[in-house]
Amino acid sequence: MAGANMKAIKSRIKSVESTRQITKAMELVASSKLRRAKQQEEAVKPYYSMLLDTIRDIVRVGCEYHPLINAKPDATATCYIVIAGDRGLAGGYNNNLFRLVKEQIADDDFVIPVGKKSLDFYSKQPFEILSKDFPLSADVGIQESHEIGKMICSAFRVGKIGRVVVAYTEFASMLSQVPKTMELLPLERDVLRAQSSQNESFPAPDTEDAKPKLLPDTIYEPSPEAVLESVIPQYVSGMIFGAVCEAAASEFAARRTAMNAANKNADEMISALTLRYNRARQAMITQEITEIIAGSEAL
Amino acid sequence: MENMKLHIVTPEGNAFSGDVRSVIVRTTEGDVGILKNHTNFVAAIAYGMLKITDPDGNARIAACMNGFVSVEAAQVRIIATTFEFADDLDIARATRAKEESEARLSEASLTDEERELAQSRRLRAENRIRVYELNQ
Repeated sequence: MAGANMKAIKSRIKSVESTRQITKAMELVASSKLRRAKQQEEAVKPYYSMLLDTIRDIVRVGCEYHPLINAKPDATATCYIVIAGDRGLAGGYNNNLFRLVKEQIADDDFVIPVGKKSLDFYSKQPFEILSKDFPLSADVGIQESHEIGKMICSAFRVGKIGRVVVAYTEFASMLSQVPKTMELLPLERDVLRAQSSQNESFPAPDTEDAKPKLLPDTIYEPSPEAVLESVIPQYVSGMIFGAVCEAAASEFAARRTAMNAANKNADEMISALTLRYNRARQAMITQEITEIIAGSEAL
Repeated sequence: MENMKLHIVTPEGNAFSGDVRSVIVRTTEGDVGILKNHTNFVAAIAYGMLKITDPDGNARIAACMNGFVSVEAAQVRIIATTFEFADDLDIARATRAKEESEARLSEASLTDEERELAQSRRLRAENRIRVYELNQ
């Protein structure tokens, strides 16, 4: 009886140990990938902040009539660019993001999923998918970001969509990643201001400053329209690229945290099972001794 | 001559940050030279060359593509998709890219999108080669 029990416990311990090896390996892989993703994210940060800062200055100066700054009045649909991971086992990383989008999205909205999990999820949802060309978020570089940017700019221009939102996971710290949505288009003033106030390195302009400040001495070459025409699509793709980089760092951090927790759980389970195993072994020995003594007494 | 601050950023990180005497940058409308106290200015950059003169008077040239230049409050900011100093250019790679994109363009069955991609690749390669040759 006790022997069979011991065998069962022993095989449990073995299986938990082999799971622990896997989670441990995944934790190590996630840590090293996280380091690389973090480096890239830090490299892209100055580009991202300067882009935001410059575009804010340019738009503040005027040119409200550009088709990418103001939405067409009859365009009500929103396009969500949902940047999630390619793999699971990262805690709530993917699901938290989908939940956040679900709170905001309306039935007639569009989605551009980036990443395998995002594509899988939205393929089963009623929303129209604008593009399935980005199945792997790890493969999305600046070139692919330009493609996404071009696609949404043209859809915005023809009035198919009136708003573009990027949903990604912000890298708050190694231990905390927050799903977040960010408005890309239309580039209205208050949107720009709201974004810049979240960006610590570029504090929001005070109220006086926040009023449209016309700087008549700024030269746009050849014309404000032409400059915005080339600058805004670059801004859009730059912001997408920045979000992709940050989401990648968040994914690895989330996976590392999840795997770390799995390791701890496995350790706890192993020690609890070992205790049970030792008890069972002791019980068996005690029983054997009792049986021998009882037997010798009977003689 | 007085110096001014110049920042150049790309998605790969800070490409340049520091004091310079002058910058000459090729915008979509042609070369623009910027010195200290330039008025506020914004222009787009397509494919072109950039020339920086540092405070000691030494000039450096670079290939700078797809972006824009903005001058505001005596700060020059250049935001570009790619920026490479001529010394760092990989000429073999650029030559190969030029040949490959030309071969691609001679194919008959290209969609408009593919043609556009190949064309911009050729333009980038040609620009790199031009900058590299100027530096020799």
